[in-house]
Amino acid sequence: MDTRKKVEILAEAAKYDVSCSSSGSSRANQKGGIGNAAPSGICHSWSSDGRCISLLKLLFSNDCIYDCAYCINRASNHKPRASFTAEEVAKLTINFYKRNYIEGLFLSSAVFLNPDYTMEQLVKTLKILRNSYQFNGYIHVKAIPGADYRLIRQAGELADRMSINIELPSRDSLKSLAPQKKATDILQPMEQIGTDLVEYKEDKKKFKSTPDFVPAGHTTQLIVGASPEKDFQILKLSEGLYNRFNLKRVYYSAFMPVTPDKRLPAVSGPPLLREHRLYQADWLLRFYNFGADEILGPDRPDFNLDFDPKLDWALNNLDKFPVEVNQAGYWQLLRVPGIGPTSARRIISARKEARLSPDNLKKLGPVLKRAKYFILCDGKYLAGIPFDPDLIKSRVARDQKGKNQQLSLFAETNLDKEQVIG
Amino acid sequence: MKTYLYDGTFTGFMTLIYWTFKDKVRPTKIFKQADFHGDLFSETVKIETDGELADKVIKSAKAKLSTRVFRKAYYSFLSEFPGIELAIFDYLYLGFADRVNLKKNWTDSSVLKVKKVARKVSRERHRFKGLLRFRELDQGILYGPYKPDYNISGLLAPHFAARLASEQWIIHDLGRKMAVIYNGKSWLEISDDLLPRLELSEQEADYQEIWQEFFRSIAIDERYNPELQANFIPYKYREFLLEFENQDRRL
Repeated sequence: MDTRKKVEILAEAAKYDVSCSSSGSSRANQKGGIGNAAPSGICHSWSSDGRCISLLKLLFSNDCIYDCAYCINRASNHKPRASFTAEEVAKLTINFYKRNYIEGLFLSSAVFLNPDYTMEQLVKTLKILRNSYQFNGYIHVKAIPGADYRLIRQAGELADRMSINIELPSRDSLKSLAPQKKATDILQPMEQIGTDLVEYKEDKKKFKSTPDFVPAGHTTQLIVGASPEKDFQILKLSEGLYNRFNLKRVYYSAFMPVTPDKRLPAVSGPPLLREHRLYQADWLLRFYNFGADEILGPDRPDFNLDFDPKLDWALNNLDKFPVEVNQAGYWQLLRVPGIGPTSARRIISARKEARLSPDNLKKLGPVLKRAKYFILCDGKYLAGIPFDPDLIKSRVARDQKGKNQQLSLFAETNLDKEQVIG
Repeated sequence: MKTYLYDGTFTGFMTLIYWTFKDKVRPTKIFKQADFHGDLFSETVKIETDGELADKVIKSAKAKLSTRVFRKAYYSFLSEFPGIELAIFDYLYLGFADRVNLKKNWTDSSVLKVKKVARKVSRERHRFKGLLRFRELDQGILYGPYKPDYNISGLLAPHFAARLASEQWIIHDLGRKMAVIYNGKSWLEISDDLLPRLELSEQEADYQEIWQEFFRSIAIDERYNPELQANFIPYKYREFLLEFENQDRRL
């Protein structure tokens, strides 16, 4: 089979992995080598579904021994099967990279023969790239659940980022939809990677020769809507993963049926708006200092589909508003709908020079259309209505009207805001 | 009423800054010599480009105002927007003479203009780090044609010189008819009539096809969303992107 045909099969098989980020690593090129990694990440194209392409995303093989209900590559699915060789993947990566098609490689695989053999192939590919081709670009590699951790660690020393997909957000769902996979096979290496991350960094302070270990961190992916978990449960899981396993990111993938299976729910299309809300809330966890319990709770287990989570939170906590932009601290400003990290930083820096007037505030870039209900500027409330909770809620609802309809058409996706991640 | 003319290069413009600051005059207008067609009412001053004087300005801007503040002036200059020179003059003047902290100032109109325009240029530079496509020529040279809005080739060159350090490559700005060439050690800007004859390597067509195949295979049909795609990658950027060949081109 020629490379082109393999790419057709094995890129198609890899497309349900959401992550495409190439940020967070700053690997320098070496003499005689090719490539480097840009800390901000770089997108190279966008496919017709609007998702960014930054890495050559491939499965090493789609010839899987498992039969997970949600997966397109499940053993019982009648699909053409193919496998690369390590040299083939390495050569393709270099040639794509030279032409500036990609930022690097994203290499995953179905489990073929057994987990150890699969992981060995991935490590072999990375070794060829890093050692023979002296490739210093970005590499994201999967850790194969169930593989010997020593192999996973080897891969971690060669890659920029690693991930193990949890896929199903609870043990019960895993048991029912992916009975051959064990939850411990997934969680144990995740925990170990999280621990190693810290230890390698400590060692590096003492011994310069210590190699980097997944310098861009490790990530995972959860499927949303294939199993009965509520949004609150998923968000709590993400929060736990960030805190306990030192995870860099959790990706969410709206479920779409790729194989018929009576254990799976019947859906008309992927729940894109729900996925979008999860990404927004995830952003609040990582960059806005929110806790999952502030955003949702047992009494409100699902997202409000009408308002984004931050706006929803503000409307439910109007007693904390309005805040004076000339006084509020950074984290307080960040909680104002319409003010993000950039405008919050600008506000703080600009007001050191001169007290902010409504006119000046406008130039700093916050979305005043949303922020005006929640702030005072130099003592003035800018919304043009009295500060009355009911009135504010009805106005905000009016402003948002038609927006969600637009959202479901245009704005869903893996919101990989490369530049924001930094 | 004083109109200042310079040769259109950044060195020329920095020389202009040197003389106007030294003579304590604010130009009424600044033109590139080629764009100026004369007018009856104003006195014109022609600036003789002087590398040493320009360096003085650049060095002192970096030292007294910070490299970041200087970079904003440089980037906004590369936008080639008509009238941007005067905004840069005011921006630098505020920093040098009035000792305004340009980093923290978000209210003065020329400071805002310079920052805003610099951001546009910087964005385009970042964009083309990803969107520039190289084709492999018969001698292994990589050739990247494009038509950027702003004059960013000199800003992209260091990025690719670090990344493709052992390769030889050409970045060709077809709109400005100029190119950056890199020989495996250093790069320089040249006029594009000096470029060698271009012929693709034997394996080039294969890799282009595999890339197009990858681009098709990686998309999820159930999430088809061309509007979202167009938000990220406007039609004006698609001309040189192989993956968009033979696709609908709308206005």
